[in-house]
Amino acid sequence: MKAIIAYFAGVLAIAVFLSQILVAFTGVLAMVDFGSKISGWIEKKFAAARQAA
Amino acid sequence: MTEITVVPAPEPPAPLVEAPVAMKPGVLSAFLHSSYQRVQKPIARHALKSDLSKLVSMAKDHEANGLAAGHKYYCLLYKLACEKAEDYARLRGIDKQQLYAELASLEVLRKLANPSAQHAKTGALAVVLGIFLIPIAIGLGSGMVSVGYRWALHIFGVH
Repeated sequence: MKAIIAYFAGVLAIAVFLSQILVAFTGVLAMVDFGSKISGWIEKKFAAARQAA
Repeated sequence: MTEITVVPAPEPPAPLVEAPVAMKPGVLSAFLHSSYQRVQKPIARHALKSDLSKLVSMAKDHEANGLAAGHKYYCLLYKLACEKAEDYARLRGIDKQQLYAELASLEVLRKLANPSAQHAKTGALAVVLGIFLIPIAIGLGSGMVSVGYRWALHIFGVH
């Protein structure tokens, strides 16, 4: 019985750990994407200025 | 039959010399004591403020000479200031924490003596900001590289 509980507790701990890594990675990707969006916004501004010129 | 005789218990001996009247607290001594208390507290307060001002001035001089925060001189000055403040608190019969809250100069000395708390806060803030700002900077940088690449292609008429 103890072995089964320990097994499931271990599996749960690993699942939580991996999910936390996934969440952190998703957050980092979201922030990188946000930075990329800023560069896209800068590019649009430059393009608009070039068109105006 | 034998007669029973009741002997009264002996009286406790009377004191040979009565306490002198002058030993009891009189009006004059009470007045003098209260006057002394009234005069002593402002003098102690003034002395404490003067001492703390001198200690802070010494610490500022050390700081101006480039002595790093956390140096043993600051610790010594802070210890001296704490001792003086505690003596004053004992004299006035007030709580030490209340006195520490009232005296801003103690806080100045404490920060100079124990800068680690301040450094830890700054470090934690830098870590939190770094966690958010570094990925954004990576995204922004890669996006700008892409923009520059397309712009260069446009300049050279390739695209």
